[in-house]
Amino acid sequence: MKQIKPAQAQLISRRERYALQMHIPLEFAKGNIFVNLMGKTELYVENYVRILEYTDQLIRIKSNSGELNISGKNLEIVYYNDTDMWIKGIITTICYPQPEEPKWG
Amino acid sequence: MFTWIKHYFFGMVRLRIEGQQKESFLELCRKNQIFFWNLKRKESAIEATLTLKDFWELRRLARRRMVRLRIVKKQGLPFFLHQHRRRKAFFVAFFVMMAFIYCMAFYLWDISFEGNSYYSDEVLLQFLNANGYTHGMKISKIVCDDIEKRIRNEYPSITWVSARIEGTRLVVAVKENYGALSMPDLRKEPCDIISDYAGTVISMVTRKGTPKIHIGDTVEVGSLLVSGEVSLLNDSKEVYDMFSVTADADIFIETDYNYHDQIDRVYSMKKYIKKQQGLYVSWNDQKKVVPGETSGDAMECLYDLHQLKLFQNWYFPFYFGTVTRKYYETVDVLRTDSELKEALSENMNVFLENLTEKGVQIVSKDVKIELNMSEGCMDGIITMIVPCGKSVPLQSAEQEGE
Repeated sequence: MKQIKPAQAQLISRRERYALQMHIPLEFAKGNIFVNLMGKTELYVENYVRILEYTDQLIRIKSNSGELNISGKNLEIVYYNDTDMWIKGIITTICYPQPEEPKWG
Repeated sequence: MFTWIKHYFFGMVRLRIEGQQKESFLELCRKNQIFFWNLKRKESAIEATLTLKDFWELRRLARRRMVRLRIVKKQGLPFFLHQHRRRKAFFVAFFVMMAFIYCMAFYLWDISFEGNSYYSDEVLLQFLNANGYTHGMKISKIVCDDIEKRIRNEYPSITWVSARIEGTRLVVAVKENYGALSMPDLRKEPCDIISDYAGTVISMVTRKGTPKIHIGDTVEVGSLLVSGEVSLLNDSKEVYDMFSVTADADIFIETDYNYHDQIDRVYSMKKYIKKQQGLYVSWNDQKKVVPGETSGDAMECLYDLHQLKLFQNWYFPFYFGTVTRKYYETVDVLRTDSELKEALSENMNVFLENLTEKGVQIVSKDVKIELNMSEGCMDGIITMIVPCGKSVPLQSAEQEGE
């Protein structure tokens, strides 16, 4: 079993520590979103939280690491379930939008 | 594919979701384990497909999110049955057909063979038919062990047999042995070796017996080559004892072969006049009865038949396909000189190839082609080196007896 040094244990969260001890990949433990892009026309998304917006040019997805925007043309959700989503269409950009800075005064 | 069949069986609905909170409605559905597929944006609405079972649940949720659902398309077996509920004859025919298919599954409708090359399918099929295993018999009466035993007993070259039933098909897999286990000649009686060709001895290796000829000697057909009697000599070179052995030697003789071949200038050829193609449906694979066939015409029938089957192994006793009828008349064609020469040369090449396969070496060939009005002849002498020697009972013993 992989030994965790005390200094390292302080840096990582409890969830990650358990994951290390149980030999579970850290990516899963953190709950990060996975995006697999196949060519220009197919996109496979795993570990998403919810769909925020769906139009044929933009799909906004909420994930644990923030909001993810997928834009393109004729976007179509082939199927989705609790964790996975398969998107087809002409995909042009995939990005995390910058949070808007608060306007003071 | 399997998912689509499942969805078709239970019914699918294509919906148009309209309203302000469409995404929120999708999220609510997801939390209630209702999943859509093929989501497409159409102007301000979303079109999506879901199963019929989920659709009833969906109506309740739609009210909570103030969205409007409109059915665009209904697909699947439940809708099909509902739409055609008044067509009683259709349902009767359907159930009769299902019953027929079910009944057909109890009988054997195809026998196939695997791994056979020496014994053809027809030979093995005839043997099975003679033993009572025919098309149309009940599957419950087939005893695979019995088939395996009978085939093994009947054909000694077949070393392994496996019979199995797959659906309504009997598959017989065999493994053949191509004479690799032929018994060596274990004859121990004393014998001589005599010549079966006339010619000059080229090479000779004697393993057992007394050689009576030398390399370079000329021998005739029936000449004694190796005697089976071996003399024992004493120090004075006198014979003091004799004993008999089975003569054994490798002898090669150079001999001449008189080659003769003759081909007629006129030969018959089929000239096709008309070609007809049509559909062919039959309840058995007997290809004798062809609609529209007239017995008097010279005709060739080419069948391309397929047996009706469901999935991979569920065969039915129906055959369908095409039949091509080619009508022809026989015409006499005259060969030109060059064609005649070509045909004669081809025959000779085939003859020489056959000889070479038998271990004969061709030394030289001196042949001539003669052509006349009616035929072409090829005559000549082929000089070749052939393995020679034939075992016969001891000749000296017979002579002494006389």
